[in-house]
Amino acid sequence: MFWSAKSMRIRQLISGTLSILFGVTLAMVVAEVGFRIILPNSRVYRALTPNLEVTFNAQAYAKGVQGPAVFKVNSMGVRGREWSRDRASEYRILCLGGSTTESLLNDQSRIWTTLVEHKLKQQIAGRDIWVGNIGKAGLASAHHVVQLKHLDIYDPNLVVALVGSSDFISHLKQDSNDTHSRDAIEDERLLEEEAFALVPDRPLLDPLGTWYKKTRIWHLGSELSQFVSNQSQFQDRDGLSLQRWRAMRAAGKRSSVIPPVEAALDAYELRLRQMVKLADNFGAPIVLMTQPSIWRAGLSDVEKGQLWMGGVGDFRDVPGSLYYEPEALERGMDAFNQRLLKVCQDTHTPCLDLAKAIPKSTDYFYDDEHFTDKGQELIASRVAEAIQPLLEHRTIEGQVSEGPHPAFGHPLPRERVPDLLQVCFLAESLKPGSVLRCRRSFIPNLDTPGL
Amino acid sequence: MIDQSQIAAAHVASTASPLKAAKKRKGSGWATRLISPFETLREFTQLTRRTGRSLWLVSMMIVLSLLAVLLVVIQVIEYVAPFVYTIF
Repeated sequence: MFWSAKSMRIRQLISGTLSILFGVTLAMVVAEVGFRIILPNSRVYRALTPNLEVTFNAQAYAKGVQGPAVFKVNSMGVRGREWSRDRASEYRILCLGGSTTESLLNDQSRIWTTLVEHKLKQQIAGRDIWVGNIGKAGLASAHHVVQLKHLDIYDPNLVVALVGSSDFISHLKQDSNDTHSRDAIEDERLLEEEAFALVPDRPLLDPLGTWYKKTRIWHLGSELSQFVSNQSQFQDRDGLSLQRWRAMRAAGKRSSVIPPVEAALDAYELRLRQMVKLADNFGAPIVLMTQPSIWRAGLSDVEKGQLWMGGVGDFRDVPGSLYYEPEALERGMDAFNQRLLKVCQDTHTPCLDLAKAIPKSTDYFYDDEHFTDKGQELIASRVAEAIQPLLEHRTIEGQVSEGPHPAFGHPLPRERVPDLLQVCFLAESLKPGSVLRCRRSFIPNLDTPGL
Repeated sequence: MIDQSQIAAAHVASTASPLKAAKKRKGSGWATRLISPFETLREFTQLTRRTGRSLWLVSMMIVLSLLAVLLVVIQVIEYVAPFVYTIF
């Protein structure tokens, strides 16, 4: 059989195309298998990259921060020292939050979580205090909800959460118009990938989600894509990124009116309630803390020059972006903090109003809301003061109310009840019945008479 | 039909003065080593052009090379810039 020249060319073209497709497909399969061998699947969740150690020297741009500053993650993916092998000998306090908990530019020995560990009495009923930090820049309450679903990784006795900043800043960035991002944030998997450094792979044939998005090739590709599009968000070791972001704000436009926050506050409240419930279900009480900031009316030009946050859209990428004035930011942050206090009041959750405890000065903040070493010290003192009464009851043996508290694994002494009230910082604003419920959140088996 | 005389000639050529051949290889040194991968590539390209049947192999090699580069780049990024301040 003879082929005409034209049909021969078509035949060659088809076979060539099929040949290329076959080659590409084969390469993808080989690469996927290779990547899965080279980069083994994480079978566990880890908040931070285990054993990561980086030294920062950002003191030139972060006044009040001493360098060099070591950022060290333990083998379990927590910024803190290694756990004891004997779980029963340790009382674990886990701190959640965004960048203000992460404290990236401060040395490990000078961050508030480490200082809290040192300030608390070294032993509680024969158990060592361990305080871990899984704060990560940008994480908001939605991420903390996801983190709290995996509390078993850390098995904490107490959870401390410094929240509100990322929720507020994220709301400002979207400017109430970006519903697309809000849809995306509902995606549990996306939140997991944002909240954890290591997330177990899902099987390729898992009916949930698109199969190709579960491949390593897709994952690597999306990492590269994020790197290309988010270069301005990388934090370098010398703090130059801080300087660049400040310059963007200095050259930006200004607004003294923030967008409506009611819808964002309602969503924030919902997530806070979820956080309280998840911690409660796990059996570890949670202490919520309001977010301090330097924002206020009457900041000097020098103080304003330290700011970089509170912009609209991709404000660190787009020159001339709109930024909100400090007094407007203060009002917005205060609204988020008030909502947190309300949740504490409604759910009888212990709260620490840190926003009121930290003076709005460059002595305590090196930018909008990140703490200097002095700020870290003050926060650690306040947090330790709030937590200590929660722990002290363990030192008194024998004088107990009936039944163990699920969080403390130990019956609580009736005599220590007044001390426990110290953590109910809203007690003054609560009704008498609410105060009782606040106490009961710590002492579930306490009988009503005598209170 | 195999031409036995050609096989014999080839055998003689390959075994003739092996020391000299080795010297020549040694003499070319680093330049040879530098060029040899490109030589291999050139020969492979010629083979592909001649047969026209190795397109799948070429495309597979290109894709694998790109993915290898991607892997290296990602590893470097994670090492150089492990901290991102994303406002989600």
